[in-house]
Amino acid sequence: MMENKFMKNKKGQYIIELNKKDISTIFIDEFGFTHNEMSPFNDKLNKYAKGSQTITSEAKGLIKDKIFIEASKTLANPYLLITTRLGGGTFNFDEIKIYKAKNSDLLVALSETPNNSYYIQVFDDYNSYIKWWVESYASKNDETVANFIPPKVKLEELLFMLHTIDYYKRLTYQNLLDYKTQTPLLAKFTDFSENMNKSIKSRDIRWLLPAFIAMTPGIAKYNLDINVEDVKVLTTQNFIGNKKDPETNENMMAFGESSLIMGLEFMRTWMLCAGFEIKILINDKTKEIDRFFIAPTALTNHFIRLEDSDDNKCMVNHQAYTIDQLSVKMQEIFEASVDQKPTSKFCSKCSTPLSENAKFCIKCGNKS
Amino acid sequence: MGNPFTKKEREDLLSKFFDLTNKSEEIMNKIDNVNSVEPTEALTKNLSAINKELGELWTSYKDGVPFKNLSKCPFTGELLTHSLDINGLNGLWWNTDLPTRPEENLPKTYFAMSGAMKLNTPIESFPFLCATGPEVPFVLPRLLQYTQMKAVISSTTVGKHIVYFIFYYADPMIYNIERVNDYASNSYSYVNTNNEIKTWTSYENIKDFDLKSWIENGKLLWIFPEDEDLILHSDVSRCPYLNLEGSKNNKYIQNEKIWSGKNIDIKEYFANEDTSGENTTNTKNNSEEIDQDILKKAIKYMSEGGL
Repeated sequence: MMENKFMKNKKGQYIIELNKKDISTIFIDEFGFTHNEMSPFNDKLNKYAKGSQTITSEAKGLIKDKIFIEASKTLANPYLLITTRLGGGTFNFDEIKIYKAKNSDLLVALSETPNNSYYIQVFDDYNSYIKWWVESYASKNDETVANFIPPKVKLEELLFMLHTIDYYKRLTYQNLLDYKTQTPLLAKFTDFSENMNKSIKSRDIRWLLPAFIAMTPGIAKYNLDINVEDVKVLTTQNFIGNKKDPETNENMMAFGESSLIMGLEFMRTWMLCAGFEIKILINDKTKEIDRFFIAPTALTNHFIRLEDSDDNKCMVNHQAYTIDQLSVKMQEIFEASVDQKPTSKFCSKCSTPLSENAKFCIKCGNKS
Repeated sequence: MGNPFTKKEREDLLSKFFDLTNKSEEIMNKIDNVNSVEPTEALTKNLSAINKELGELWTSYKDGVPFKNLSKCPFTGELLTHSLDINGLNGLWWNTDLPTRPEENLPKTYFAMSGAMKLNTPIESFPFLCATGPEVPFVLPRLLQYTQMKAVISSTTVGKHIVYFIFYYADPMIYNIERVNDYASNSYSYVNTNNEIKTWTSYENIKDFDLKSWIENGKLLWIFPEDEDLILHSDVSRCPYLNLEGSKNNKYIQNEKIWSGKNIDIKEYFANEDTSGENTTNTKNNSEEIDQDILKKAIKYMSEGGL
């Protein structure tokens, strides 16, 4: 028989398992909570008739727990929602939603289990969450490395660069399988572009490009418009160049310094990635605040921040962060998000809510 | 930003300015000269009129200095636009002791501006002192030791000369550390934690002219010369700023005379630090590894207040 449990894991984090069937009785009958549209249980609670179910013994034990009570308040009326996805490389896909209420510092993470229940993980505040996340998943390297994708580039251009990194891995593996030693690695431009189409459609998160698309929540909203001009960034940033095939004299694509270094880095040391989307409920409307993607490797933490631009397009800012830089940047983003107050002021460029006396947009830097 | 002056306007302005400056000096000499036959009152009145006109010319020059996109922040991608008298070194912008520069509107990640200049002939004629720095670009390890600091190198032309700008950016910003004098100036301005603009002077900094390792470790990015899009790059193989010919000594120009001042090159500074004992039997023969050792020692030395 399934039981509601609250338990501490090895790292001292507070984790509770909550049966889905107990949610309505706990939230409505026992706690009498109101709930808002951002609550993960909003639909369920809306459909529940008060008193129509009997509270289980498991739930009776749970409702006395102080931490569970505070976490439930947050889940009933959150104003901040962080959707985070983890996976890619050698990891399976997982999605966790994290909630925060206005009058509480707690961050409450919610993930579904296969057992018709939820795991609820409670963090004291966003700093605790960031510390846990960085310790669990970030690259521990504290040396800086070169950033071969300096800011800013179009989202479409980034996709080409990610595919070039994947393609280096692909050709290296192909040579291994064919017992070939081709130096330098050469490819046909047509093969490269055809493979990119397949890669995007595949959603195979073992490869970096599809992982980036699958792992970044909300990326589907951007009006992706890949065209020939976007390929130029590959030569501009020394990802590819032209070279004649010594045997056929055909004009081929060769990997440049940037893709050689990044290709090797990702081929040998990339294990997983994570995407984040932050939304707030402000003036009764849900607004997107931030969106970013992290791919740790042995060398660095690749941090890609997606910034809205005109016509539903996107510019990306890629940085290669040490572990400390990553922590600081995540703290900065979370702090800016949790400090959002009801406001009538929004950025004229990206619609991010701003504080009344803000001179610049915290997201895109536009003067307000 | 006002309307930039034309070349003709600039030439006329500077010609008049230098002429009046000479006259002003002559009058002051007469006033100081107890044997002068001209009445002091008349001289003083004349001097006052000249100074007033000099002030107006100075303001006109400041308002007419053009602005140019010179760099890009490696953290945010924001363009950095800075005033620059691109017409020649005889502009008041280039007066090291009293640079005439309009108010700048810089990115919030901007930390410092440094530079170097490859001088070409003919050298302009001007009465003030202009310190153009070394002829080849460099970085300041003292600043780049901080994880959150990066530098960007770019170049453009000023008259016949090639100027290399090295802009430093910090994210998050660092306060309470000494910066570096603005290029070709003897002071720098900064915004403190109280949002006040302050001015300070920095003294000689140890320079590193070997840029390759700084690019490889991500601390230095570069922009192709005269690239109007100011696209940032991090690869070494195409970098046009490596192994440039030119003097590493600071150059000074005044009244058509050029002279050099010895610079502190990090490799020379620590090259003779330990030539006996351990290092003579050191198995490290690779010069790059030795250079990195010198660099690390230098940073440790500086952080312990060695300078």
